Amino acid sequence: MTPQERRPRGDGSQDPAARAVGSLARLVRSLGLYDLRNQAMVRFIEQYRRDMLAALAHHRGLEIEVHPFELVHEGRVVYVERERERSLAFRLFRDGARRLIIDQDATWRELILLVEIVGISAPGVVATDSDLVTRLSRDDLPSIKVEAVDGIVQAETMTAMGSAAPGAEPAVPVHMVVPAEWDLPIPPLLEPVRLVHRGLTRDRVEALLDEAEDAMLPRVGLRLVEEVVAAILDPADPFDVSDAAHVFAELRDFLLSEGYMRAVTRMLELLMPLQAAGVDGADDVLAGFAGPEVLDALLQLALSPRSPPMAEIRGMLDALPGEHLDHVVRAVRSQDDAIRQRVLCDLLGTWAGSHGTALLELMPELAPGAAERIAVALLRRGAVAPLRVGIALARATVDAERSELAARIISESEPVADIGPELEVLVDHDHPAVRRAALETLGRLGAPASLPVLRGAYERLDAAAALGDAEAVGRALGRVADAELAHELEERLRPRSWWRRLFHVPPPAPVEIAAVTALATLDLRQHGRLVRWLANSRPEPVRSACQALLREEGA
Amino acid sequence: MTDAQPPDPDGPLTDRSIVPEVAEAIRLLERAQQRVGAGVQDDLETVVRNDGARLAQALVALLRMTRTHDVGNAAFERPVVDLGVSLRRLVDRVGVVQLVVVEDEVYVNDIRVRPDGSKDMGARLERHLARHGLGGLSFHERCTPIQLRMLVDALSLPPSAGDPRRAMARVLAGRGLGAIELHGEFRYKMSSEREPAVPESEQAAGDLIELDERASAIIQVCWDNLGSNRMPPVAQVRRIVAELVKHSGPGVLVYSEELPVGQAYTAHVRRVTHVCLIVGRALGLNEEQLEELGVAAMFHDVGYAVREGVIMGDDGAVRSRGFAPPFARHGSAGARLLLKARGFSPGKLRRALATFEHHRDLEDHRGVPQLYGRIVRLAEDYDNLIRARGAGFPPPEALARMKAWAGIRYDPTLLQLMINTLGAYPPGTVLELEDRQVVRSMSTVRYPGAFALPLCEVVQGPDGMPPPQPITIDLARQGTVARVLRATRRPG
Repeated sequence: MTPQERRPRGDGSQDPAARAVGSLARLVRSLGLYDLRNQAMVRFIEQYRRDMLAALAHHRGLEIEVHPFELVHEGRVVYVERERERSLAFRLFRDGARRLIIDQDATWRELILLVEIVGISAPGVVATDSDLVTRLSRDDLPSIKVEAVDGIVQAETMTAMGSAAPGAEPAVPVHMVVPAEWDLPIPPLLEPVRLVHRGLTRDRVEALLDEAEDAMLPRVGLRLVEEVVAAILDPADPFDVSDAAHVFAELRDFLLSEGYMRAVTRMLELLMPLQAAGVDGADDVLAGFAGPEVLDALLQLALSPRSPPMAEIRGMLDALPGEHLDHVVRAVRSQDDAIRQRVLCDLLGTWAGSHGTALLELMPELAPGAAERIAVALLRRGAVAPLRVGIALARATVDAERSELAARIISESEPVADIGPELEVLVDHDHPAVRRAALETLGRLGAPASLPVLRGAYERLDAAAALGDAEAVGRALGRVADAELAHELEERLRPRSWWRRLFHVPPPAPVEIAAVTALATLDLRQHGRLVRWLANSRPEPVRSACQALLREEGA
Repeated sequence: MTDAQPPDPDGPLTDRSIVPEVAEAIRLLERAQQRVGAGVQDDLETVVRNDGARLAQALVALLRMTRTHDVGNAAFERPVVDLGVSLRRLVDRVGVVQLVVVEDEVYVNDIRVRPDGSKDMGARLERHLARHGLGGLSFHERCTPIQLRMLVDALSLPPSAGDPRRAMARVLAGRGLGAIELHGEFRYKMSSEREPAVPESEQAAGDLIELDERASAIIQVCWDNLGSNRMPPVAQVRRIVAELVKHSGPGVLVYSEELPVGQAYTAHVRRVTHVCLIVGRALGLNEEQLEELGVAAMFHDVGYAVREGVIMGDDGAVRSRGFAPPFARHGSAGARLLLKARGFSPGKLRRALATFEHHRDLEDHRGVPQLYGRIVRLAEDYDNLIRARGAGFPPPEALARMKAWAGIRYDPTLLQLMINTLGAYPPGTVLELEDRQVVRSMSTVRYPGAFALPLCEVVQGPDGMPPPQPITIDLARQGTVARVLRATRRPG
């Protein structure tokens, strides 16, 4: 709000009319500055509603005189703004409004339409069908009236720009001659039929009225596209793409903004013949359908409550020229809202069959829920090894539920060649289920290349380590351990030389458990004596762990 | 963000519950924003501001250079290109580009432009234009570098004595620059000024005949504008149609007159518009839909204003003004003109399609024409059958012959609606009564029982003489129709 807006001349600031007009002006001006869903805008709309309804009730309606820079109510200035581009008064005055009358019983919908007309529709830079005065005079605004004169004045004539007042100077120096034989010849005629009055059923009339509704606009637009394309392709017709490229863009954006995606794809089909015929400019028109705004609109459709099935949206994406996976991936990455990201991932999942690897690479960057959607899609399509899916999901999450899911997928999946390095990353995962699943799978793989990683995990064990981790490390280690490592583990548990035993300090329980489990896994027959000795000589929990290992062997 | 942090007052709305009224407002306003933004990829206002400033700056620079250089000089090349590029970008985005100077300030399509480092650009431009009595220019299409040089050259000429603006318009037209519209000087009207007295023409706005005359003037302006490659003045037409919708009730007059071709054309367009509005109103279209239909009707034949085969000379001047498209292609030509306007609007789609389809049969192989096309078709054929240079039938015969094509050429429901509304003796029908009086019907059907009993004005008394004063008779109360006459001339 500018200082001038804040301080209308007179004592208007306490006047409900001044507050209402001020709220209207602020809301109108803010339309160009903020997103409508911004909290500030919500406040402005609430304020406008409160102030306007209060003013209408207080004054029993508002009758506002429009001056170039001021708005006046009951002889008092209720708004003043001398900066022309910011001024609501100037905008109204410039478009010819001289008095704005709002009845006491104006509905909220009418008051919104007033904002729309003054703030959005009328001040367009593009010359449109109707100006501010025409739009304010519409019959869907019964409680808002405008008194007007014609537009900006010309200094010498005081007539509106380009007006066609009788007797005025011709607007165009060249007078065009109408062809004498227009609309002729008359088409063939039949004998007259007697005219009688016949009542028409309501259904027939309503069917016609439906055609005039806005809901029919997509059909009208597509029909127009058909006609224009036919005209462009007609060699005798001078119609070319440059005559209609902007119309195609406008229609496309309208259909997108209103969510008529099927119509968008149909429109694209209708335009294809232009490209097939090699018409100049056709490529640019079609490229407009692969632009980010089109893709974003499709993604918005996917996010809307009335979203069609993802497969259908995918079909629409496929109908657009080009390859759009990257755009969807970017959209998913930039989507902060977890729920919306999840929805987009459902869409992304439709690429699971053909672009599984790309989706796998993306998963670790996503929120857990989103990554899970992709994981599910990938598992369903089966185009990627489930083990890789599980690993990617595990990398995407520390969330307990999804970590357990990832661990389950990893544990239940068949090993895959060369997967070791990816699994090794998970050995230090925050969630124990994932760590243990990774260790277990590394063990199953039995790849000697994993030995340093597993050994590292073993060496990081300390007194605070979870026994489950220790056991998992031990089992994995046991599957890849060589004789040298076995010897080292034995020495750690019970040195062979007597004098070393004198100074031997048993390692923490987790380390002991890992070591004994490794040895038992490697070869219990060979190391059975040591295990039994430990089972008899070590305190809990090592004792129980050793007994369990011996039981397993017995079983 | 944790729960402890205060919400960002200007941040996006997330969890906040919105009252239904505000939600409704957001929904409606968002929809309006999306519609206005259709086809526009950038911030249009910024584009206009930037390119508008460049346009004005280049024009001023070129006009200054004409003091010391001939426009053919190579020094003009660069600024002419700059001017052309800015103009092309603007025309492509906004259609008509209006450059206006008001009190040293330059506006391009109502956006004030401020060029870099040239504080007095507005004053300079104003001085250059004011010499010719001009306050601004509207570019209705892109200009070639040659055309821009010719424009600059024309503006650098000494002003003509008498009416310099008119003289400049003639110069531009002679150079094939009809698509550049000239405006007189503008100024802001101050609140201290008294409103001019309402002209008689506006006082009489309720008078349909007077309104018809104003509509005719608009049609002529439209025709001339479009013939000069200017954009269709849709807002102006819509305004007059809105008045027609408000003022034309069921008693509308529809005459068929013998007029010179130009006037006959405007009369035809007017009558087609009236009949469309009559049918649309009978159908139950709302006011906005009627306006759209009326605008479509006003523009339905503009294709004839197109000139094909225009020959331009090497200097950019017009050598041959070309010819109108043939009947078969005037619909397409008209649509091409109407689609030149920028900005999405439902009306633009509907009227362009109606213009394409307004001679199509109901059973056309391309599919059933859309509603407005079918209505305009009815009104168009009806008028072509009754107008003197068409078939010249009396209105009842025209309708009766159309009735024979119901369901094939015409939508049967719409045609019956039209018949039910216009009646057995549509307005303008000249009738001889059994008492030898000659009357002209002047009302549509007031109620089903009066289908063949309109209100009439007496044209000739039983003695064959026109009445000394206007006499209206209601055939529902007096008089019996003996026969329909072919005479169609309007008395007086």
